[in-house]
Amino acid sequence: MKMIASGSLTPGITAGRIIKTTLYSLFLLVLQAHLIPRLPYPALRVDLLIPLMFAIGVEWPPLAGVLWAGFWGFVVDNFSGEFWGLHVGSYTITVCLVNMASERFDWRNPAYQMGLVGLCALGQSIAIGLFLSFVPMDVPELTSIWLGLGIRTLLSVTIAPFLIYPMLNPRNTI
Amino acid sequence: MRFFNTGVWLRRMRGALLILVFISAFLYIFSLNFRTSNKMDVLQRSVTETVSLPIRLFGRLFSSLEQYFKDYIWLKNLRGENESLKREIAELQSRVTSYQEAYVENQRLRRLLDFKTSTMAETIPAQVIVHDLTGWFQTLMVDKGFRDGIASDMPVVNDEGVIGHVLDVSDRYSRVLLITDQGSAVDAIDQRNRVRGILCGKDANGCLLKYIRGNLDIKEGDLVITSGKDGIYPKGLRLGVVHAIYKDPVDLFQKIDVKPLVRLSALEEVLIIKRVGAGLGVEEEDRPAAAQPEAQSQIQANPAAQPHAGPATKPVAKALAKPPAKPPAQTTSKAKPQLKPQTQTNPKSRPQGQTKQQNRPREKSQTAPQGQAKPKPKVD
Repeated sequence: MKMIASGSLTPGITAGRIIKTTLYSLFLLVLQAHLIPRLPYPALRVDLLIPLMFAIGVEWPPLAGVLWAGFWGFVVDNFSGEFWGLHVGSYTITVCLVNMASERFDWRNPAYQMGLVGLCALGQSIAIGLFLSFVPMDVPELTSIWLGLGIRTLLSVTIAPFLIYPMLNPRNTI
Repeated sequence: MRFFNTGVWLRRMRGALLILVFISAFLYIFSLNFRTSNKMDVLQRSVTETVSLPIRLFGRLFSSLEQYFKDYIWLKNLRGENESLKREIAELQSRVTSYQEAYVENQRLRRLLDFKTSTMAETIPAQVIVHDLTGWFQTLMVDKGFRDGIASDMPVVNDEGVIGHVLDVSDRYSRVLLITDQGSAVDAIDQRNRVRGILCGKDANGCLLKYIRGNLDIKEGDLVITSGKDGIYPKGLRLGVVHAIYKDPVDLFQKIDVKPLVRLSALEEVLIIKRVGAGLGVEEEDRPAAAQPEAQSQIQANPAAQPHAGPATKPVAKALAKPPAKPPAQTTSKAKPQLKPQTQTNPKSRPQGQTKQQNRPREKSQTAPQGQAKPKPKVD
């Protein structure tokens, strides 16, 4: 939080980058809205915006990234209508984790990208699993939910570099 | 003495202020989990109204692309599909003929008994904008809201059966909680023997009929309909079919899996049943004239027919914008199974006294205002 508070909102963010990020975010949101719920197996229903938030965390200043993550999290929560705060929390945490660990890891390395997105997706999956487990259900049903969430996490890890790549600025090489 | 500098003070307190703002924002968002369903607040409304439009436009683009692929790439299966459809049409035509006969018979019996229709309510057609974004919860967004007269807790149906009810309302959009959501509960009865239970959501593919005692007779394939006693859904709407039954000798209740009749994952249009006043039903006199041309044509064809003798689901079937060229019996034949609970109220249909066991004593007083069995002194 101290890091976010000490950061500035706008340095390094040009109008072009804002437009590009907005369009890309909207594109992923539309994909999330029209493609993901149609998938036949719950295990395939990944969250496409977590990798986006990773990229935002890498490219944007901390405070702007957190605000951006909060906004899109609220949008997704709003269209989901249940478990308010799940997406706001997970996206914000993703941006914060990226900023906190940015000095230790080279986030351009796909392995690190997959690792952190996997961690965030795992956290989100655990939260969803706990929420769904509030309703008493049999062991097979519960197992199938948790198994689905596990596969979802693995799938998020796999697709992360492909979703992050369009957002990374090639000029920001270390 | 040093002057108190607001700018310096704000800079020093920046971290604390930001923490305060973030915590407040998160507490507000988290508090939305515990609110009662109502009209959305300003923030939710603004997000819904703003983001729905691009999502809708992109959705149309996706649909047209999907249609393109279906039309041109999957053509190879068209011939076989055409043959099977022709066979199906022939079979359905014969079935429609028998349904027409049953419909006419039903009308006659209805006039004789002077049954009032209980679900004769005004409906609002709406289009599905988006399903739950995560795919893990069972909600969807429709393009009708507060401005169109939608309020929370209004039942949402289509010609196949019940979809859910309105959870939250924005100005032009509403959020619908599907019957398959774990937070959904519908007062339901087995159409065959009137055994009553609570239909709760299980997952995207099914529901659970709860609180049915182990010794009560439920069979696979039984149709589950709304009982009309939960204050949300009118009586007699189709919910689903009993898919599997699990009886545990040590358990007081049996576990009944119900498969919804509506394909909830492929919804495009829905009907929202508008409540009128305190009750769910609308009296025949209150209905607009445009909403009952079928009833009028029935009366013209048979002067003995009384205006309130139409089937309960006629407006629901009509509001789906069926082609006007179709004969009235075809339009209503689809909704005929919904009439069964009303026509099967003879004593033979509940021989084991299960309804008496299940229903509370106030059932009679509740069913009476709906006018299900009002005797008529004179029958033509």
